[in-house]
Amino acid sequence: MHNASNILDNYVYRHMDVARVLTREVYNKPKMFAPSRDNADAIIFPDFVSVNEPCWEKMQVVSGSASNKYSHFFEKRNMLADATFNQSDTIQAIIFNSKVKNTLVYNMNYIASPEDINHLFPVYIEIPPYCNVELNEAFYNDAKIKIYRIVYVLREGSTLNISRSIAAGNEEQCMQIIESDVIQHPGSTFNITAINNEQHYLQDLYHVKAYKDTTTTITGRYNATADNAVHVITDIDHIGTNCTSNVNVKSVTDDISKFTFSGNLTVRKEAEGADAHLQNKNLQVVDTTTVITEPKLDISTKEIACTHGCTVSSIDEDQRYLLNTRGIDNITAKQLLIEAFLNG
Amino acid sequence: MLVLQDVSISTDNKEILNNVNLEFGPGVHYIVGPNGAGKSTLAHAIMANPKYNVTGTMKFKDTVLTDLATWERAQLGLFLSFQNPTPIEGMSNFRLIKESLKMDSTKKIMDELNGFKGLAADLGLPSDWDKKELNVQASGGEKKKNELIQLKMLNPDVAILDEPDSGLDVDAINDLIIQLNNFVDTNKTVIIVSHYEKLLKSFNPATVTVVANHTTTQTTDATTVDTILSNGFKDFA
Repeated sequence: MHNASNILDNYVYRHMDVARVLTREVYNKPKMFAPSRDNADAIIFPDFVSVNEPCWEKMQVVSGSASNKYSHFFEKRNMLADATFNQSDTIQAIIFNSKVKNTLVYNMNYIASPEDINHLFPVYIEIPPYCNVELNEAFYNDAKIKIYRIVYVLREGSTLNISRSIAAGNEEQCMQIIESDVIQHPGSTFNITAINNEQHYLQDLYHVKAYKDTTTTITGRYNATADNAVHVITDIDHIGTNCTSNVNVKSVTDDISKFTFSGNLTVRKEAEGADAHLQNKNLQVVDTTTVITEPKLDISTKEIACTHGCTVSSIDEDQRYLLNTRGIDNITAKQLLIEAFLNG
Repeated sequence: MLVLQDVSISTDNKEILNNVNLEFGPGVHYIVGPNGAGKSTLAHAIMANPKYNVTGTMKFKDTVLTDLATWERAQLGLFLSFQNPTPIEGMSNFRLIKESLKMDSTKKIMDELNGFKGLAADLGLPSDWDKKELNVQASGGEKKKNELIQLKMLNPDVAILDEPDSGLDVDAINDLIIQLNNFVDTNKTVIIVSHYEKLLKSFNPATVTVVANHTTTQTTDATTVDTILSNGFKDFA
């Protein structure tokens, strides 16, 4: 058993401790996983929690404590299950190898088929201190409903860059919910770019806790047609000083689709030196779509640079006419202007 | 040959021009007139700008343009250079050319890109002009140079240039005149809408059209320009 102060004082040990705690059974069964702890870029635990067995005791997650000790421990069994919204007996966990000095690039494919009976899919991802990881995430949902709860823990000085693609299959009424919780230890950097394709229902939710000297960038590009509904929430909590956040979300809606955006920005009293920017631009191709955009700012410090802007617009007729005068027909012009809007 | 017969142009709120009868054959033609007379309106009406209601007949290459949309007229060989070109964020200068010419092979794209870069360099534009966003944060002169590049690369049979000189300095005007001289040949029709004396004195126009008093008067007498530059438009009021 490891006590709290022991783990706090030694961040490398802390990382190893988490791995050990979470993988106790797995480490004892090396034959189950090909990569070894020493050689692998990451260690994957397809099944590290069983709801009926007390196989882990502590997991370190940053809390809102005002003290310098940024740690809070889950002491109850199954609190990790709660953190990852786990109602099933399976959690995917990836803890990257702290010894790797180069940037790790990892492809993660979240594929749900019609036969998939588990609606909930919790995931835990940890980036060790001062490590750089790139994740190429591809979501492909062909099940009626799929809910992902992904917790990203970025340790001190680490960098996580995510390129996220969200797609759906042939299931006409499929629903996909992706909830991403990001816990940024001091000095960490989190960047994500998310792009979706047509699908009946999508929620893409981001909750970020930024502790000190962190950088957070969320870029979203969403497309909704037919009777699709896409809902995006970004919720960034500046807890410590000198944190930078930048949210840039754009949507294009056509036919009778719906897009909603809720951009929440909290800057606590202690979070001096915050540099926070929130922007949501929405293009309605036709006026039969529904777009709702809602910035919510809760600023409790005066020492801040903060901007926000939310707009809803339609296709600029002067731009369309310009393209027409260059021999570009209306259908192509519309596609080009949508592309230009998303790129601009 | 571009022919307008008994053309009237109006918006939902007002009549702008009536009884317009004009012919534009190969060569350079001028359209002049007081501010607000309807010169730009005439240019845009030829291109079927949806803001305007047009009656009468327009023909180009024996094709009646009445039911043709703007892009169909452009594909037929008509080109309009804007007085104040619209910016499009997120679209590069070369992308517009690529889509207009409907390039579908890598070799063609590379050839045209090289051509684009050459033209941009001739006009004193930056080496990465192809990647710059179309007319975004561009000076007036840069926008007009962009129009000129599009003109040269799309190579239309009829080019209508709406005040191509506005926003250009003296050197840029000289470059414009050189480029237009290179463009004009026995088969091209160039229609210039302008007030600028130096530009109007740079060519020997086949016709001069005066837009005034809600109508147009076209003459083959090139000295009309000198008369207007000396006396103004009072004879056409």
